[in-house]
Amino acid sequence: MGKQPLEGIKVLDLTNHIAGSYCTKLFADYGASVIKIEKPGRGCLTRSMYPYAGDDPDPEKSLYHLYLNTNKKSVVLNLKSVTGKKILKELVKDCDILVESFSPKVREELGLDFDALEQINPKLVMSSISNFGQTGPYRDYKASDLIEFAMGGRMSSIGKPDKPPTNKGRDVTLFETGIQVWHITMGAYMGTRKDGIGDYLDFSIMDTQLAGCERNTVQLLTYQYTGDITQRRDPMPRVGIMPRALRCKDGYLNMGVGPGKFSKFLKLIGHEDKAADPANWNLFSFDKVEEFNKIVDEALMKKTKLEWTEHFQDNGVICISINNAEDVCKDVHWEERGFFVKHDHPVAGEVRMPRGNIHPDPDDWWKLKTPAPILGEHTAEVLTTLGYSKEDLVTLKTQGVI
Amino acid sequence: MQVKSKKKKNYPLEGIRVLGFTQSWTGPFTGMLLGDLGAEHLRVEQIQYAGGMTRGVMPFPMDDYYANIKDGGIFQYPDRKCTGPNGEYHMNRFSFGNGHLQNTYGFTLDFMRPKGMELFKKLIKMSDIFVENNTPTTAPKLGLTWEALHEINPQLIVIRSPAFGLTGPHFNWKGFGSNIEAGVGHTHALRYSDNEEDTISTLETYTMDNCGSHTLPTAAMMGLLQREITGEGVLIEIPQAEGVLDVMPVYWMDYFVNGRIQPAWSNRHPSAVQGCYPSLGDDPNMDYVIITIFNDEEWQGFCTAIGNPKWCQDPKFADAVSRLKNQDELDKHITAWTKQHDAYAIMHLLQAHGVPAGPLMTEKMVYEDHHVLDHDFFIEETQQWCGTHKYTGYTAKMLRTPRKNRADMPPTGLGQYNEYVFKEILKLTDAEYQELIDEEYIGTEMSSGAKTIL
Repeated sequence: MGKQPLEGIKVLDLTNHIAGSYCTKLFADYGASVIKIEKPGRGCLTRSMYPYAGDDPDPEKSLYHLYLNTNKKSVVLNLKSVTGKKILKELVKDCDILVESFSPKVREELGLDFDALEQINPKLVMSSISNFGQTGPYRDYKASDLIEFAMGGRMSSIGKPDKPPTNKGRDVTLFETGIQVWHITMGAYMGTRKDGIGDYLDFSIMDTQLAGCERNTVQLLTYQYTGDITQRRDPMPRVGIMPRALRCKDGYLNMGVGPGKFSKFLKLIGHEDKAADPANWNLFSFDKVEEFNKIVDEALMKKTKLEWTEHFQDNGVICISINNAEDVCKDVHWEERGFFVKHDHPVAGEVRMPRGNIHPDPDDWWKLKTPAPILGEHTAEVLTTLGYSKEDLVTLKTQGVI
Repeated sequence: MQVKSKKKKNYPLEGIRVLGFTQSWTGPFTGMLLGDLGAEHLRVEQIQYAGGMTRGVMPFPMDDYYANIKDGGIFQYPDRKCTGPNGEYHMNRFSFGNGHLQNTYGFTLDFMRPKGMELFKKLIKMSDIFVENNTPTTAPKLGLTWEALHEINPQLIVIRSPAFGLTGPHFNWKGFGSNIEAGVGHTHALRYSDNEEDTISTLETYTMDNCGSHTLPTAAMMGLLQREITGEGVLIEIPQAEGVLDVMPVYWMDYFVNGRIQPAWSNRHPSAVQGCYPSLGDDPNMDYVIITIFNDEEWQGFCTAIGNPKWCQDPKFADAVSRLKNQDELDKHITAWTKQHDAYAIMHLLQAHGVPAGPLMTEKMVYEDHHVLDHDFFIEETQQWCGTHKYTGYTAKMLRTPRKNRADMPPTGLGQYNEYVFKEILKLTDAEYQELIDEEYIGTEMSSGAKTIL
């Protein structure tokens, strides 16, 4: 078995929500050793998020937790107690990276200041994730996935022109933040491992939205260039007489047909005569739009979205069906690539989840070595390595520290 | 956080050279982000083809067309004029490309002709990381297979990021963001409701671009870590579609484990009262405020903030379960209130009462927002073809780790760094360099017969 690229990196996970937990999951899945510190009793908030396996709201069965905390160790620790703080410092001493997502106020109350922690461990890379960053007028404001999406400037252009804007996939905003935190934290670590000088990284989820690498970046620039605001657009815009989305037997197809492929499209839906007559039947034959709609409707209702997608793609016309979760989960492509991996969780039972998307050759960087931990599963193990005896553990438990 | 720091650090990726054979979004962004961390990012383009729409939808655009586009988007030029007032070249003025070509040494080379490919291979030999995000067949057709690249440079880390991967039944399926995100279930996930007419909404933000842009550089760093141990390069495949699947795990797990297709949430939340409510203002398309009420405490805060009107005492809204069951009715009350107030005023009022709320931000609001200004987020860059504008900034504030200032290297022009690449790196003589120009291997404007790839 090959060595995983992040093997040997020690990460202390003090995160409590999606962005932070996803960041540390990525570290763990590619080989880092990650210790998650959880609150006594309830544990990480990802344990109490809908939905649950079997709709049983058990903290070990939340699907978010089962996905976000793979390959991690769970240590329960009361960070508000003096003893808990002392144990945390012992853990900080021996780690390379600390990721936390307390609100700035709570972080300060817990004494998690970089300058203090750096005294304990000068090579520490510490990443703080918060709604709006550690400084600025909104520092202590609360937020949700949707509020961050809206305030990051992305939401305003999503949806239909005659309706309010709408969210994208639920919590995707926060998952994206997790990847960004992972990337930049790795960047800092690449420097620190050479020069031994630690660093502090302040991630505002709103700013990570603004700094995200997609259309929003360019829409913001277009505003700078022109003063124009990006509007919500017709989701079925036609290019000439060709709509972007077409109805077929069991759903919709998302098309990408330009002027060069229009005749081919006609041919592929069985209208060779019209395909051979581009003077009268082309992308801009607006006088034919009604007849065109009719023949397209009739032809497309004969096959399923998968059949059409294969037919068009095999013949060089861009088309992909609008798939729901069932289509995706049954897609032979992901099946053949082994993308959804199965494993057994001691409490939740059999779980299937997506694997990592980085595939080296040979494909041995991403590993699912241990399922998401039971709350406090590794408390004794980790504290023992710090030198605490069995008797000490009893004392700590009695005192409510662990 | 107040931390005094006198400790100096170097760029984390100082001395690393990245060769970008990239189209749009993920590819160029990856190069730029590695550039931020100190790598030298060289990015090749051809003057024979306008690839990926990054520098324009057409090689020779029409001014009139863009003058009339006033609804924003990603295809635009400063002042809606393709060519600048002093003849500034249009390809260097396109907002799409200029959004992600900082910290990039843009050069041109016709690698379709053997002499061009020879020069390109010399650069491959001198690079640490090779990034491409073309269709799976593009690079191999040019002879740039992993085997060939590895033979030229055994230490090269090769990152390939096609849409669906290099293997599997759909490996060669083609599509733009809208097609691919349809195929992996994201389009379906953001529908307004389960009614037929709501099946499709516009998706003007592509998750796969953001996920890919941050995953590829991280994979490159992991490749560098591995190379220190093995002394060898590695081929890394990162399918863009998988990036979307990875950030929507619950949609698939819920189907596998519970046999359920997640309902249309739109702006609702499974366990909180949440919505996007119209607010007071003069742009009905954009005046909205988002409110999320997670628990009883926040509900109490909300009621107090809006002056405890009678309906707040209705038993239908008294507890968390009832509020969720009666959210349609509750939303009507909330809307009646939000409509009378400015979105910012609502945010400040509700936040003062411990309730999460925030305005829907347009581009204009983002640039003028006090918090964003306080963070000094945007970077003022002067680019010679466009003038001075504010471009988006970096992810995170780093206390010590320096990042290359994008203002020092604003969006690269087409072939802007040809001299640097061919004379300084490849050590060509002035005469040899001139020959490349004369034979149209390189240039700073598209050749007269240029075509679009798409």
